[in-house]
Amino acid sequence: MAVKRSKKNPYLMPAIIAIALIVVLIAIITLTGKRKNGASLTETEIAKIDAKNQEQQNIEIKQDLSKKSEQERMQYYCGNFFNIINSKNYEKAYSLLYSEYKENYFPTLANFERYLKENFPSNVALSYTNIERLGDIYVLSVSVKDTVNGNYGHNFDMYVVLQEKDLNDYVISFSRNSAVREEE
Amino acid sequence: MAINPDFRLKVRHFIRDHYKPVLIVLAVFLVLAMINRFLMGRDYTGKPITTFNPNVPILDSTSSVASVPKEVSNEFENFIDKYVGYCNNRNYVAAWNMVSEDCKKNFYGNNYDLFVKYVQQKFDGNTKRYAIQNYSNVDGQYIYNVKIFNDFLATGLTNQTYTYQEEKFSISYDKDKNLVCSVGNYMGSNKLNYMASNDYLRVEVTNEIDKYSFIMYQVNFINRTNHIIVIQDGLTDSWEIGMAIGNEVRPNVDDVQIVLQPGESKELILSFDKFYDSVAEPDGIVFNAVRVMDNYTGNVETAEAEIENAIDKFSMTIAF
Repeated sequence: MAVKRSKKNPYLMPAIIAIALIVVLIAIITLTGKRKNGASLTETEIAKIDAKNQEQQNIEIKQDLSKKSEQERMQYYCGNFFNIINSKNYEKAYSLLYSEYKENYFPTLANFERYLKENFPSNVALSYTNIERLGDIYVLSVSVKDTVNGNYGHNFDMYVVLQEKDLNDYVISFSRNSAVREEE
Repeated sequence: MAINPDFRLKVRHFIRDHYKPVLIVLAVFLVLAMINRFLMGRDYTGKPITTFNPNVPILDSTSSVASVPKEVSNEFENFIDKYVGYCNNRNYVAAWNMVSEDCKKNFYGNNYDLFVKYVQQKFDGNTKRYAIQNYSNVDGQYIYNVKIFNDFLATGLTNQTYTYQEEKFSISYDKDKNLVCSVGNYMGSNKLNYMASNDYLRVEVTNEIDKYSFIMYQVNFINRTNHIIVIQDGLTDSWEIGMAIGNEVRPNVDDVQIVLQPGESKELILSFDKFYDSVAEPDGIVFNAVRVMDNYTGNVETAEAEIENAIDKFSMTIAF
């Protein structure tokens, strides 16, 4: 009696090879750009990674902002500006000021930094009482609260003026003397 | 470590029996992974969505045209930009040349100096920003609301109060197809020829001047008697001058005394509330409490007695 041999499937081997190739491709794609643990990075490489992370973060912020209403975006920009000040990143905050406003009130970064140190509480929280659009600029009436000292701290109301050039791309100015304490 | 032959066999059998769906799932996964990577790598190019639509009228329900046609909207925006630029740069002659002949004549009385004074008052020597919003469009006139304000971005409103000036501009083409504007809320004017008369008084309406939020009539009053005729002095219990429009009578908004001495003629402007783009048309002017008197002092204390002793009292309507 003849023994019936199982017939080999002609597609089996190509299929296995294709699957293997796909798995390898996925691994390559996933691991692209990632370095093995333990390898040391040069400063340039660190800077590149930072820039890439920053870029990625910016894209995510833009995507998030694109879903917000213009009122929410203005609140975000204003809040973001004062968060930057809270974190003492004066250079970054200074770069967001409208150029003519800078010329008028803070010709140098040092002026700006001194003003903030002298007049702004070390940590602030904002609440918005009004937001109005005038063409392509927005005028925000903002209450600034001293979060460290509460009611005993330096609390004041101020105007913030914003112009949105693009998503997460804006210039800002504020009523400079609102934060200046009156002589006692 | 050697793989269990039984397990190896099971895997082989599984792959042999199900390689097609496995292949498809993996291929789909790969494609999705690649698309995801491609999209994440791209810069986000979405533009901020705002409520700023300067060429979509606010009052579209009453407008004959829903919005400013795209072919001309840029032209209009540039026109207003140019006008404000001239005013900012104190090039008043160039700004004056952009004003319609009708506006020059009927709003400024062809007085260039009056126009300059008007602009200087608006711009007060500072460089202003502006914001426009199409308001409504009526018979070839494109009405824009124009807000004029200080450069708040440059000052951050430091030591300033948040205020702005607002007026309506009417943009249209003149007979030579050049763009012209009417400023200061002036919309246009019409020559009229309406008259009402009796033994005491003759009233003629000769001109209609349309501002955006009110209508003004140029009226000639002629006293045909040797008595004093009182048309408006605020000393009667009832309203004195009104504009009949639809089912209502809108009072005259000018707080002016109209008293004609014997034989006297007077030309006056009477104003009434009416939006230029409203559908309702005025039916006429009603002079509701005209008094013919010999003794008139204009005194509140004696007014009642003087009205009681009037020679005659009547109401007169000029129908349009």
